[in-house]
Amino acid sequence: MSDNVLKNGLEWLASMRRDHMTSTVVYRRGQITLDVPATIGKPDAYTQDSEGIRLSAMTIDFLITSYEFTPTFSDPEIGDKIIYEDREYEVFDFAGQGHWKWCGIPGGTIRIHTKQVN
Amino acid sequence: MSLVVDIAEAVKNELSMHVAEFAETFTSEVKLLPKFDIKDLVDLCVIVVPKSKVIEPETRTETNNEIQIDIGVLKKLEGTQNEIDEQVIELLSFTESISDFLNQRVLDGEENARWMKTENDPLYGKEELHNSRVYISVLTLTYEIIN
Repeated sequence: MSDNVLKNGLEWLASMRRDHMTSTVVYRRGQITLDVPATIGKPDAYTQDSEGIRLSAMTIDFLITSYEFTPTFSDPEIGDKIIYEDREYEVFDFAGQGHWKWCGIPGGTIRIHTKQVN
Repeated sequence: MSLVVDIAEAVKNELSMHVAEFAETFTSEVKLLPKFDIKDLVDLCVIVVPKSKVIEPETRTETNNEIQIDIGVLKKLEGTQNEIDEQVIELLSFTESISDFLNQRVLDGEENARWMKTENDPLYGKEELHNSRVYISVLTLTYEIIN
C-alpha cells in the first residue's frame, strides 16, 4: 500500500511537471519533427580532451513525457535535434553515461542529454 | 621567437599558401592552446600546435633539435550514421592529403628544418565521433634541425 502511495505521488508530480513546468520544443530526426512539451534542465558546461585538443559545449537536459514522445520516435537517438528558443541542441552520449535515461518511474518521463550545436 | 613556434608558423604558412591544392577549403592557424566550442566547428578547421622540442648532442660542436608539431583537423559532422561514415572517409582522405603534402617538404623560411616523419595514431578520435559527432584527427610531424 505504501509503495502505491509513493508511486502515485511520483505520477502526480510528473503530471504537475508536464502541465506547469514545460515549454514547447521541436524534436527533430531527419525530416520528422514533433512539437512536444519539455521541461528544460539547468544548463551546464561540458569539456572533453582529445589528443591535446579541448572541446567544450553547453549541455542541457530535456524532460519529455514518454507517451507524447514514443509514438513518433520510440527512443531518443544520438544526433537527434531539439530546437528551443531558436537554439539547436543535439542528443549526445554524456560522458559515457548514455544519451537518455528514465526520470522517476520507468516508462514515465524521459530525460534526454543534449549539447548546444547552434 | 621560439624555434618550435617558428616551425609551427612555417607549417601553417605552407598550408595557407597551397590551400588551393587540397580537395577541401579550409583556413589554418597556429594555436598555442587549442580549445573549441563544438558549435563553432561547423566549418572544417585545421590548427597547427607546437608540441615538443628535444635537444641532443650531434657532434662536439653541434646539437640536434628534434621538433614536434601537431596538426589537428576538426569538423562537426551532421546526418545519418551512413552519411557520417561517408564524411569520415572524406575527412580521412583530406587528412592524408595534408600528410602527403608535408612529407619531405622543405618549409619556406625554415630550410634548415628537415622533415623526419609524420604520425597519425590514432587515425581519428573515436570517442569524440561517437559522443559528439566531431571528427578529430591529429598528425604529429617531426622535424630535425642541426645547429
